[in-house]
Amino acid sequence: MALTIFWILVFSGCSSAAKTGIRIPEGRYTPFFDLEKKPVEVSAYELDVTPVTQGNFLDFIQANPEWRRSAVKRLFADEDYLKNWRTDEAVPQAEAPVTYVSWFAAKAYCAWRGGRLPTLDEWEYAATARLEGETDSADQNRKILEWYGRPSSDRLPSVKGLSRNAYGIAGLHGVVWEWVYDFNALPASDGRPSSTPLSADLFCAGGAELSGDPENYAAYMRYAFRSSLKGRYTVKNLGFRCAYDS
Amino acid sequence: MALFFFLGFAFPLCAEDLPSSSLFHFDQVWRTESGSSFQLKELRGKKTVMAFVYTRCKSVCPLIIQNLYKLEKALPEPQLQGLRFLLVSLDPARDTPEAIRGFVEGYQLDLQRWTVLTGNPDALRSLSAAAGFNFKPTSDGEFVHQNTIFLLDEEGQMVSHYPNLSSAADELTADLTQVALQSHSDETLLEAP
Repeated sequence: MALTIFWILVFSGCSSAAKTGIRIPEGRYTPFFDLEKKPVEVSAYELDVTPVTQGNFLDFIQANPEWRRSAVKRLFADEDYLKNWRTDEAVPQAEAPVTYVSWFAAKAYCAWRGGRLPTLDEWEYAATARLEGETDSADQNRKILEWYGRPSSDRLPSVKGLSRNAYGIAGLHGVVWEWVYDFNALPASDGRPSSTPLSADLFCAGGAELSGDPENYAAYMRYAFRSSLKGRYTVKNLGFRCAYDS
Repeated sequence: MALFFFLGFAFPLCAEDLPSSSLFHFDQVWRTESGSSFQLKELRGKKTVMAFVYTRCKSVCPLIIQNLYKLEKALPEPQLQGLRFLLVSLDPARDTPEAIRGFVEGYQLDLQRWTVLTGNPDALRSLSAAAGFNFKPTSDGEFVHQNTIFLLDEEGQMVSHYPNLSSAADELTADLTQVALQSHSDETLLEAP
C-alpha cells in the first residue's frame, strides 16, 4: 500500500501541472469575420482563469529543456523568444503573463498541462462576456480599444489582481493578446472558397464585406493582428492560456 | 580516413544536423497515395516546391497545379533533377490515400517528381502555422485558403514564397534558374586554378 502511494506520488510529480480551468457553457456566437456570417455553435469546454504566467512557463521549461531560450529550434520560435528573461531560467515577473512565446511553445505548454490552446471561436465566445460594470458591448469595446491604444508597458500586472468576466475568466482583454489554436484560420485574399466559380477571383473588398459587425473595431484589430502572425513569431504583449475538453 | 568515409555514407544525416529553422524537424507522419507513411525529412536533398490543395477543390487548386505544371515544363532537366513538387492536402478527413490516388491519376502526376500527402488536422495546422499559410473550413465542406506556393531549399528551409498565382510560375522559374546559374558560377570559381 505504502509502495503504491509512493509510486502515485512519483508519477504525479513527473507529470504536468493540474488543470486550472473554469467551465464555459455551450452556446452560440457570431464570428466577427466570417464568410458565412451566421452564428456558430461552441461546445462546452474549460478555459484557464488567467493567462499562463512566467512562473508557470518556467516550470514547463524545467521539465522540457528543449524549450529553453538557448535550446529552442528556430522553426518553433524566433530570435525574440523569451527575450525579457535574463537567462534561460531568470524569470523577470513570475506572476505576470508570459509573453515573447511562440504558438508552437504555447501549444507544447498546453499539451504538457493536459490541455490545448483554445480555438479562435472558443476564445472569442468567452471574450464576449462582459466585466462587472460594463453596461453593454459598445461600452466593452470602447474599453478594449482604450487598452489597444495605450503603448505596451515592459512591466505587466500580476494575474492575481485581474477582474473576472461573467464566466469567471480574468484578463481576456486589457493585459496581453493571446494565441489561439487556429490563429491562421482566417479568410484569405478575397475570402471566397476555392470551389466557387472562377469569376470569384475578380471579387474585391472582401475584408469589409465579410465583417459581421463593422462597428466592432476591437474585434477587427484582433483578427488583423492574428492574420499577421506565423507560428514561430514572438511578440512583447502576446501570451496565451490553455483550454481543456469538458 | 576510410572509416570516416564509411561512416559518412553508412549513416544518413540525422535531425540534429538540420538547420534550426528546417521544416524537416517536424516529426509528424503523413500518408501518401499508396497509404505509406511519410515524414517531411524524406524530402531532404532536393529543393521542394510546396503548395496546399484538396482533391475536391474545383477552381483555385487546379490553377495552382497548372502553375506547377508550367514550372515543370519551363525548367531545364538539370534543374528538374534537383526539384520535388509537394502537394499537401487541406482536407485530411476526406482526402484518404484512395482519394489522393484518384487525384494523382486524374492529374497524371509523375510520382518520381511529385509527392502528394494527407495527414491529420494537427500536423496540417502545424505545417501551415510554420509556413504562414491561412486556411479555414466552411460549413459546406469547402475551404477558404490562400494560394501561396512555397520554395524550400534542400535542407527544408523556406527560402521564398509566391502569393500571386498569375506570376508564380514565372517567378519560380526565374528564381530556380538564377540559383542554378549562381551555383554553377560558384563551382566554376572553385575549380579555377
